[in-house]
Amino acid sequence: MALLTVENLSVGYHTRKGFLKSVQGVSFALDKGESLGLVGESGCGKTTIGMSLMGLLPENAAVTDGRILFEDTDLLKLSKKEIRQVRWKKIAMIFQAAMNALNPVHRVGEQIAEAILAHDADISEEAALKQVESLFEVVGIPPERMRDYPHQYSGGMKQRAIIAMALSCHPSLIIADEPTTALDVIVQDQILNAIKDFQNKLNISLIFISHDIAVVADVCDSIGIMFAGQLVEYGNVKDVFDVPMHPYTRSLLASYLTLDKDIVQLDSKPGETPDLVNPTPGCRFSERCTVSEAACSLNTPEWVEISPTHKALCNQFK
Amino acid sequence: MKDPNTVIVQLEHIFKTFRTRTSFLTGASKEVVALNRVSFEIFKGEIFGLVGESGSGKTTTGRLIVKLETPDSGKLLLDGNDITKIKGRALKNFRKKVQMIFQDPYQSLNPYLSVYDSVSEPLIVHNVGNSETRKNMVRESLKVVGLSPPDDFFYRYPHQMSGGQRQRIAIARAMVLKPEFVVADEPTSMLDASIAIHIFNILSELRKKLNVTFLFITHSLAAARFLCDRIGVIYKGEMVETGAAKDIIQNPQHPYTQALIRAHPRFRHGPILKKYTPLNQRF
Repeated sequence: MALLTVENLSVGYHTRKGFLKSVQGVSFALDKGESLGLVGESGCGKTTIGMSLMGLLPENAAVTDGRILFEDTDLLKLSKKEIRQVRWKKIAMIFQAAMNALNPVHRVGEQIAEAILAHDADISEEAALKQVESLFEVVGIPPERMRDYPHQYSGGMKQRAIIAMALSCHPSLIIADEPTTALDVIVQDQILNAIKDFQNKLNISLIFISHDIAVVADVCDSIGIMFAGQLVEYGNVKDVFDVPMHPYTRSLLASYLTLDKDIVQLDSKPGETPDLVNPTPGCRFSERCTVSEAACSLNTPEWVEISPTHKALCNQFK
Repeated sequence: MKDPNTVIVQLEHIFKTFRTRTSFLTGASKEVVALNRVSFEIFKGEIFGLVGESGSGKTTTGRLIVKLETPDSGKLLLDGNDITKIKGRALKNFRKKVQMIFQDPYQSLNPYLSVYDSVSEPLIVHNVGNSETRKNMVRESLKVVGLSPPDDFFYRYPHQMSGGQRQRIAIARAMVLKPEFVVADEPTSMLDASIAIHIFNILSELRKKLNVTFLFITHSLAAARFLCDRIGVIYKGEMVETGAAKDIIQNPQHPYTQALIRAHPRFRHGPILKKYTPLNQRF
């Protein structure tokens, strides 16, 4: 039984231009201790998925279809009060801008203890601080820095503290939304290692949201590639990177700059993000695709199973 | 093309400090050394990559070269002329020859100006051409950045365009005066990977077609390796290593450069360089 099953999830936002279908028909599953990466350009809906799982969608958002089964409960059916029991205790999140996620006027250690105290009524303040100390060890901050304020931390240390906060209530699933985007490469490498480390040690499931396909390849067991609100390729990391099938995945890989790359095969045309208020019934990538045919922009693309652990949403396979 | 004998920009022992805000209790302020005696040169027609992490001084270097900042000491030369202390008419002439592309196209373009107004503004400021010839210059400039047909873009506003298009407008605006030297400060850090490659290709084309020299500022060693002829690595205000792009990557000398290369994300699985067979031939 999977820990998390997302079935046919569709989420949209009410905007001045109309109802913007940000996420459409997204399905995936995650086992205990497993990690899934969601990759895509800005605006493809990956953060919206994360926020739906946390029950943190903004006021103007609406879930139009689908189910989010977490330990057999549909999170979408829970009341606001009920979802608070799940949030942070069972599903925690590491946010993108670590520098803004900490309260500048409280000591870092106390902020994390506060999260523990808020979710566990029986624990004493002392015991909570003791827990923070061991969490700091897991994420690699010296315990004597617990009494420091956020401004005394470097960017990397703040991000480690945020990870410690996410781990504080022993969740079974952590959603990491672009946790290293604002950091330098060397610090990014350290944070990624810290994430891999706690995931192994504590056997926590992880959803890793990123626009950097190499980072996801490094951290995750399986990967979902997103384009314009849809999942277009999904599977085991090894399968997807060995034989990338969807033209968009290929263009992402082709345009990824590595240190030994002289020439980049531009496998896509420059194009605008498709209109998500009135999306085309056909393939949303067809306009930028280099192998698309006239039919692609008309016919709804269907999932094709390439192997039991790998599938792609493209009509070119038929 | 690239001319290894002609130096276009030269920095000699540039020293720059910033003063932090004074503490209202003690009245004390701290001096932060942004650049510590930085020296390097850029040759005519090349793309020189300046790589460093945030706070390393790479943007300050770029701003000094376009004279948005003044060094505390040291010398700055353009085409062999000392421009460290120029002002007035000489400075205005200098600004015609040297342009800058900023990091964030969402902030660098005036939201109240149409594309035509934005791109033609430098021509008006420097009194180049008349209203008729300007139109053609704007057209040309939009064409070289791949916005065609250019007339379709004239009356669009920044909010009607994607990030990639906005950055092209910003490039067109920098290129319309046909400058000799352009500083591009992280021009793609706000853009998606596939769009970034298109921008790199435009810069590379501009260098070839118009023989512009670029200083390309980036935090990505891979981007510098892809676009630049030579790379300088800057760390905590000091230039720790300069050399041909390939040499820097293959044979880094400074421990910091080595650490940067070690930390660069890599694919564990299969080489992604192979050319994939088209889908329809696969089944």
